[in-house]
Amino acid sequence: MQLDRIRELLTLGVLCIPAATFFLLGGLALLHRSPSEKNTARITAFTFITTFWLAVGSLVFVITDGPFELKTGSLFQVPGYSFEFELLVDRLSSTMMVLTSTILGLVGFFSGTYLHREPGFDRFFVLLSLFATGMLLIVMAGNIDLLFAGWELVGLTSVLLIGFYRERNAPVQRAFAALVTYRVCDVGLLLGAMLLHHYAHSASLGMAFTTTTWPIGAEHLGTNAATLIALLFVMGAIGKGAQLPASGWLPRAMEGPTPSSALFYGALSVHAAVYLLIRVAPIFAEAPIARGVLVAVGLSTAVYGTLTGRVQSDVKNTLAYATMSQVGIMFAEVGLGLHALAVVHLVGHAFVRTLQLLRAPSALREANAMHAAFGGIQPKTGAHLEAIFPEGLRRTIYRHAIDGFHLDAFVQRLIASPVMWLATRVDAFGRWFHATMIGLDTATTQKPVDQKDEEPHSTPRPALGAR
Amino acid sequence: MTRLDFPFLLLLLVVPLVFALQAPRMTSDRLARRYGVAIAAGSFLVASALTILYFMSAKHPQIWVDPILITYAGKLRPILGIDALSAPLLPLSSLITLVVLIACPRGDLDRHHIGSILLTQVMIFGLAMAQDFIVLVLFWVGMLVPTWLDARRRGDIVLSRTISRYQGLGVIGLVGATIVLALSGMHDHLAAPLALSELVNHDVQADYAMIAAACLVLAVVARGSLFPMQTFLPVLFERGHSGLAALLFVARPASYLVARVLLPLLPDVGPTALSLVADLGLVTAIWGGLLALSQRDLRRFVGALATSQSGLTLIGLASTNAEGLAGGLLYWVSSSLALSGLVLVVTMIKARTGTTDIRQLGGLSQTMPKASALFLIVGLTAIGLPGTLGFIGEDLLVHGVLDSYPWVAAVQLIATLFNGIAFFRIYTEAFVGRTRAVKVPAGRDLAPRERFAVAGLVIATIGFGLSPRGIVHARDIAAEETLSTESHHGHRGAPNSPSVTPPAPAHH
Repeated sequence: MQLDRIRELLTLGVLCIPAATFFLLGGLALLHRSPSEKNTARITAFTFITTFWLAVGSLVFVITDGPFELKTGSLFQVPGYSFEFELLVDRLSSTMMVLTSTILGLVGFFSGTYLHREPGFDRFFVLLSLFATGMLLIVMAGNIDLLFAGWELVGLTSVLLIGFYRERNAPVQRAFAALVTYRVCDVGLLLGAMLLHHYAHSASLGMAFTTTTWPIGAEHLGTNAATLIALLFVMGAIGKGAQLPASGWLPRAMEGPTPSSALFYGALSVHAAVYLLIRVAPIFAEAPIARGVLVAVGLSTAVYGTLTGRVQSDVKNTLAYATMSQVGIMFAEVGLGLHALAVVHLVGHAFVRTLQLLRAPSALREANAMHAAFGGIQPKTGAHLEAIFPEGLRRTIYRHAIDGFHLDAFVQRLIASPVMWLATRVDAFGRWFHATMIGLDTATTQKPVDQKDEEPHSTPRPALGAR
Repeated sequence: MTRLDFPFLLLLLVVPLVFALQAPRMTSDRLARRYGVAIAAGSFLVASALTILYFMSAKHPQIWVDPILITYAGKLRPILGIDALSAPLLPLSSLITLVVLIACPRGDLDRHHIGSILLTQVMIFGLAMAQDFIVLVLFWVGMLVPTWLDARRRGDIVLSRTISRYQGLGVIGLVGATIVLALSGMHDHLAAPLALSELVNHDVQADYAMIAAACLVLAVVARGSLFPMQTFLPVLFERGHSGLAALLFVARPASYLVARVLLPLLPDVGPTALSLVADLGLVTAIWGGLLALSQRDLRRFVGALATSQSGLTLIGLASTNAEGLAGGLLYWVSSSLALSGLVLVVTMIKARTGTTDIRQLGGLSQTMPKASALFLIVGLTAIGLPGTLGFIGEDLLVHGVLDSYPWVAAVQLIATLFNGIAFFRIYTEAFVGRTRAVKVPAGRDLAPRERFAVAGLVIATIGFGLSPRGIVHARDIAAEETLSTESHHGHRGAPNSPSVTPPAPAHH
């Protein structure tokens, strides 16, 4: 009994401590009473060190006592529906909790020095603690509703950190592009969660790695419903995992500070997509078509990421495409039912990529040091796989890879531009209809009531998802 | 029905009304503002206390009526009362009035505006308290009068004509419904054919019900800014006074009409009419989202967002199940709090920059970091960030609508998608990136008075979002009551059942 209580406190502590830090730092920032850099770093270090040890404690409990569900009751309920606050700590989630808190701690420690005297120092740590809350909510969520809440928080912090250097236009526009991708794909996850409620009358995750399936056994959903829901979950995962055709935002996201790039796009955020897929794996067991789609998306992204990543001249971009490629392979592993392999792949990749991204700012210096160490002669890196292709084909692939296989232009032309065209037409029609209804011409109705001077400066209308 | 000891409801109408009529004659704007804030604060406290006591009382459903009764058709009948549906509207609208009076830039708040704002609050209170259909219609129509008069005073022909033409159709619809319901009642020899308590117990004949429902849908379309009249709210927010626009958005008389009249009183034709309202709500929600995507003016953008969220609220109310109805009612509250905050921040920015055109703004986060942070936080609550009331409302809304209209639920997510993207586009254009034409001098960021007033709305949204049980329960009671009225319709007592029980023991 006593041990159960300790376990509950450990579990709640892992989630609540970063949340409390967010409210503390965020509240102080809003009141313009942000602590000094030193104190901010101390608070963050305390938060993540504590979270790490609590996560380790949870992992030990899982190993010794097995999985554990913590239900604190419903957040709210109406007849026929309740939003349960339930946390699930099993081998998968406790592994992810340890991974998350470890990397958060490392990146937090690194950032304290890296962002010294940056104007947005306190903002970064506020967002870091919000991200920690969201990410831990994703990995600890006992149902899809709660997971979605964490998913949204991770997406928001990701966007705000891509646009961290907000005095420049490029980071801001790239943050917006990432947001558009996230929002579009999140509709899939949300709709999947809704349909799960509709068909299964529950969205509880249960024990995905045990013999128990969830919510009431995926087989009870029927193949059609399971396929539809699984495809919607794949749609959600595609956005966060930067898979085709929604992968364009990932290289652009490198505009953010290096620690956030490492955290979001090397270690945790992109892997949240893989985690989601592993969590909902029982549904894929009943949906062979969705599994096929998952493998196809993953493998095509892996190839795309490899080809495009090889022609990048920027180290962070190269790493972004490499991440995309590895996550694609993880998608394929999940699609093939190799869940344990996917988890091992995820953990290993997260650590390696974090290290590479954190070292990226000093890549040039290291390259120079290596160059000097070899006495000016760089060793050949060996024959690449593409050497098997004929010369002409290689040139063609190279040319297209430089342009990212025109993926951004394709998405822009096929989705973003038509939507913006429709939006402007809707506005124009609305203005005409209104003017007709009140018996005035559109020029009169558009004239601002209290601003009769010169015309505002004309700037091009921003395109949806534009660079 | 429970009769209150003291005429709290009448006082909530009379005191602000007297002041609203006196405010334009006051010697200074400052004096009017001080009295206005005091009266709004008093109204908020009394309304909040009444609402909390109402929901804490064990007995539901029930109506608390004012002790002031009128003799009508030979019986003493109440004209003012509150129930689970209307009670939360009182503290909500008075809170917005209070925040507007505190936070609105001084240049935008003269004594005429203060009078108009308090008069609009009185009309909202009257609408929520009305126990008779005629009284309801009078307050419904009167609610727009202060805004119309304000537009006329400022010589804004576009807004004044928009109100008179668009809302003229709404008034025609509502008066038509009133006449039809009265004729139906007279046909069935009801003593008081337009008393809501009698209407609830009366089965309106099919022919009358059909015509009444058509008239009510017309009123809902015109007043709810539903397709094809969806341009009303953007124009109101763009050209009207921000405080008045916020209050009119909070009141949502169209949503109130659906929940108060269409759903419970006309159960036979209700499903058809409600299905039509849900479809129009869906078109409006998507239209508003698309409109928001293409806007270059911050105020018109808020209007477009309001249109979309008004459509989403109506979809929930028309879903005819407890989840959807509770979701719609909750979404009503959350979007009211968030968009009121948003329009106020926009007004504050305009007071400093002289424009709300995003082509002239840009990089405001460097010169006005406090305004920028507030706009972002309020906007995030408006688009349903987890941890805010908007998230809870959206979640319940979609779940409920999924049961009644699965396709509508799926498609309405597109509207929420557009709203989110549109908000970030506006934020990106106006607040971050390089500064454009308008340069704001240093030290012209928001004053503490402005920040704390809007922060109050944010705290309410986040507080209810993190601990939503109480407010969800309150809205669920309203939903259950409304649905139970509908389901028991036609199985209740004789048409001439008494509308008022003898005075009940005093409530403490």
